[in-house]
Amino acid sequence: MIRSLLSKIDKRMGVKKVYAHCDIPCKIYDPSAAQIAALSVIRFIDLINEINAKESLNANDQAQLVRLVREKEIHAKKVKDEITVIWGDYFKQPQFDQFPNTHSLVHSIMLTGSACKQHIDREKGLKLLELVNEFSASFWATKKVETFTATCPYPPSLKVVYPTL
Amino acid sequence: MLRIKLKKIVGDSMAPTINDDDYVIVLSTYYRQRYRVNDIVVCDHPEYQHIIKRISNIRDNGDVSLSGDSIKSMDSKTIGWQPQSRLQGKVIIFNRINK
Repeated sequence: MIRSLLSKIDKRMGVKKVYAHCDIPCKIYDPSAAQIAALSVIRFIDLINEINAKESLNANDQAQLVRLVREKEIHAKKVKDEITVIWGDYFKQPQFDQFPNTHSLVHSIMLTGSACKQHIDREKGLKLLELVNEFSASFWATKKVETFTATCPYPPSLKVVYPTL
Repeated sequence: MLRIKLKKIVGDSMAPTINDDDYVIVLSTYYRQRYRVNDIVVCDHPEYQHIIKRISNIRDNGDVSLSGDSIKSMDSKTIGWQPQSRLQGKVIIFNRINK
């Protein structure tokens, strides 16, 4: 009964919230999973386009194509999920003050991730990686960790932002 | 003079003592309030903002260490020692009003 009354008061007047934060595991955030997923998206796009270039597709090609499309979908979503967790759980006001464009950057990553799911345009994959690299650089800067850019040692052999540890 | 405020909980780090969506009554005073270990308090944290935790330790200088009741909570090291000036009051009622 009391709870019911409090709910009504809350709905009418709005009760201020207090947060009982949980983090599992505490403080383990790393954008590298998003970067690897973005690289994977580009790799899958490249492999799909290789099959697309063939004049005709046999059953093996078609089976491979289905798998590649599926994995591209999964990894593009993984990029979005990994970035969402860091943005939502790690970034707080001091980090947003340090990098005020973070909300806009994350939104761009979400939109570009979706575009990568819908298309097999390599440019969209490259754009996704560029945005995730920018997010990664911001993330490490908030932790006062310097970063460097190097070409990843596996296909698609593109530039990736790494922390200097 | 006493101040009593109603607050709503978001999150599970104080479970099972206080759960997500529960209401609590918070008491604060205009003069310097006396806090003890095991008090459940509301703290205005510089990074995590308006949080509810239990006082697990008090230093000689009055700074408090805060932790949640749930194993899922952020640990006290993450929250850091907080001066009592950041404490917004003590939770005095929670279980009876959430049944």
